Amino acid sequence: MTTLMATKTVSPPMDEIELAREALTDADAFAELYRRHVTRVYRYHMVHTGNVKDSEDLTSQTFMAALEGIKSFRGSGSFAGWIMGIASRKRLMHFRGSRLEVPLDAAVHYPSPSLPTDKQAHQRLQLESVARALKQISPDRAEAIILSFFGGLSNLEVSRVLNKSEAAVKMLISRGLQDLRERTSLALEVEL
Amino acid sequence: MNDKYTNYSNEDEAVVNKLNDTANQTDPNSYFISELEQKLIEKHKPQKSWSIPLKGFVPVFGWAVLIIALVFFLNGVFTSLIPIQQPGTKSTQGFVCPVTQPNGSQPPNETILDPNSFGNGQLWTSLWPDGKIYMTPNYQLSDGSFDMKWGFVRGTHGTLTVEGHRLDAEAPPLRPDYPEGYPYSYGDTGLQILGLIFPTTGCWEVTGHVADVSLTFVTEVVFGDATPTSAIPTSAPISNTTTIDYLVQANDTCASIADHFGITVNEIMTLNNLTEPCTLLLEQALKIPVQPVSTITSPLNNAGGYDWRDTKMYLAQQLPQSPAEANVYLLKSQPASMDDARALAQRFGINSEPQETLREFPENFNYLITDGKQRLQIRSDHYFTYESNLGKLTLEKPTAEQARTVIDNFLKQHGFNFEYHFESAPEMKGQQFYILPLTADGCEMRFDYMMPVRYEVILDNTGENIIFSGYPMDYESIGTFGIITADEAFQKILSPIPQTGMMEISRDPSRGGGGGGSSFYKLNLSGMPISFSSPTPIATVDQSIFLIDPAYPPPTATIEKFDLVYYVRNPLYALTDPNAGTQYLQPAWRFYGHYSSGEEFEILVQALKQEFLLPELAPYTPPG
Repeated sequence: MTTLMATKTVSPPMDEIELAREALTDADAFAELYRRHVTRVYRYHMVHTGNVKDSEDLTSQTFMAALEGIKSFRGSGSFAGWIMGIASRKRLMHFRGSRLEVPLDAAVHYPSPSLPTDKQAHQRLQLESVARALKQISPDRAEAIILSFFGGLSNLEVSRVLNKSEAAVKMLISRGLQDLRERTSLALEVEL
Repeated sequence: MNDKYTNYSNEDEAVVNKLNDTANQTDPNSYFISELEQKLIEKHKPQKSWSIPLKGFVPVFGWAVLIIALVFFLNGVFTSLIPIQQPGTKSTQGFVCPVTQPNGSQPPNETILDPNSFGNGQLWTSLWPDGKIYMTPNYQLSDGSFDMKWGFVRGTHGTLTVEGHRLDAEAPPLRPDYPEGYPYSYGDTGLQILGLIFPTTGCWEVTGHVADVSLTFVTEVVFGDATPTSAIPTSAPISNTTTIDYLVQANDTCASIADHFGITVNEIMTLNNLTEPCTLLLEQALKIPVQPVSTITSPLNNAGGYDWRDTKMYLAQQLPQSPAEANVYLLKSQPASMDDARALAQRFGINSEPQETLREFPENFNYLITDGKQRLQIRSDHYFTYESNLGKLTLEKPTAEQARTVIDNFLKQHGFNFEYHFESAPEMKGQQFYILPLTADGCEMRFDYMMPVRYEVILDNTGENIIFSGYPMDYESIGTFGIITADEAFQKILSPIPQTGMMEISRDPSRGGGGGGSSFYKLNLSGMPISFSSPTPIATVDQSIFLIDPAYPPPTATIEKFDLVYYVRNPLYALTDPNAGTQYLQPAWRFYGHYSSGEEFEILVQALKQEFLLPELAPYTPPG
């Protein structure tokens, strides 16, 4: 990573559309896009799959597909929205292929050097409870919430990924939050 | 820019915080991050292919498209003014033009096989099917010569120059028309587009040079009929194809290829001069005999279903015999101005001044107009959202009858006077509705990613609170053009040969999530599905992510409905892409039905006859 930065400095505010254009021919530009967006993609897969192995696999697949398809990114929307669209399709295929609901118990099994163990355990429990609650509400509301909170997309970006209007996305999120609050196991934890 | 964090009610705050905390704590492992980064960098190859630099097409093409549009408009006037070149008047009797055939050589890094590719390992071009360039008046310049855009792909470095002369008669030499900014506009390697100006029709030898590499081919320039609605007397180029070139892939065997194309191993061996045992090299170009598209299945026989990919396709009804021609519409795509915003606001009875608001995208801007009760937001691509009563929308559903009446009155009161189809949104039944405006021909419209052109309406049971959003499409007819029959379109679907001009989705109505409609699992596109007079690649979607669905294909598929729809590029793309050029609403045959697994599918097949289309560069690749 350091050698990359040495050969070419890509300044953070650089326009992503410009970066995507350069990424066609320039591996460093693609790597920069990757670094900017890998976390949102990973979070998205993590809350869906609940396990590190599948999330890492799907994150890899998402960026591999993005690399192949970078020429089809037309700069007509944000890169974040585009990459999350790929992530969402990768996820759908993953679930359709396996037809398995992956148990959450394998979550966060990588040792993370910076965190003490009890904190890791806490995080794991928190992710589990959120993921479980999201499975208890209607899938389209859950997806809008996940794209918004875990994918870090704006409502407009979510609307592009889901091919719905912004108004519909707002409504999905607001109803989803209401469902989470009133009807799921998350309600109890939030009360506490 | 993003108001989602401030928009939540106090009740939701705890849930919102929980979600944010959880998300923020879920980070990928740093080893994983750097490992994947290395993999991506290793895999990254500069992608020089047809579809990337096509954006550069447009500066070259912009004027040409304008001229084409003008010629269409003024066709009647023009035909009498243009000195029509009589085809082949000077040609020698009995001369057979030795047209060059594709040789299977493909530019590097091509993911989509171009059956018309011709090259020598360092320089490539794409030939017209059968070596014939069909010229129409649209390609004719005022001096009677013909201008055709042409692409070369350079595998080597240097500036491309092109020369050419007529073989079958005396004629002035070919005039290359290099694009503005040449040679810098394309860099010194990869794709180079230029115009080839043929002073006359006839048999032409053309040579491209880059440094010490040259590529020569012979092609015949044919002049078509001047009237858009009449067909060129020769059959469409695509249906004349008798062999295609297939590049051998990893794990291919002679038997597997024979099986795939429904031919015998012997046929492959004979045609390609192979000897026993039939062994293949990776990337070897094989000639594959194919039947002309128009005779693949004939007559249509529905009894046992049609073979389609690895499944059976059934038709629930007879294919329609009409129409034989359809309108083409020109989309008026000017960015929305302050005046447009004001005018639309007044239609809703908001008389306040528009304010420019934060933009989501660099090329884009928004206006906001509100009188405190009503609010209208309009984006530069004219997409708008109108809310009749800010913050007062309840979650009480209207009855279906109430919804229809309220919406119909609302549309008429506010000047949305069009015929439409009314649908209830599957994911929010009873509260959200779709209004699909119809063209003058009574056809629905689809955007280039297969979304219906529609207004979305959310309303409650008071009949007064309404959220209304959508694209007001502004377009006008540029005339009627001949279209292929539904039968021909169906042949394209059935054809095992990669076809251009098709789009396909399937979706599972019972499941949420995904993108598009209620839910949306596959979108199989490639290259330029529909390319009517628009050289920009439209609807390019990364096909690699759609082709690996293990659940595909389901046992059977039944087509229940066919009709004409209009296909148009999303106005946001058209406006934000500086090279978008002129946009059209083009007719497409729509085939709608269900797989036996319950998923809906919809396939669009470009309906305009071949002679009205630009040469297509990338074939449609079916999934699987």
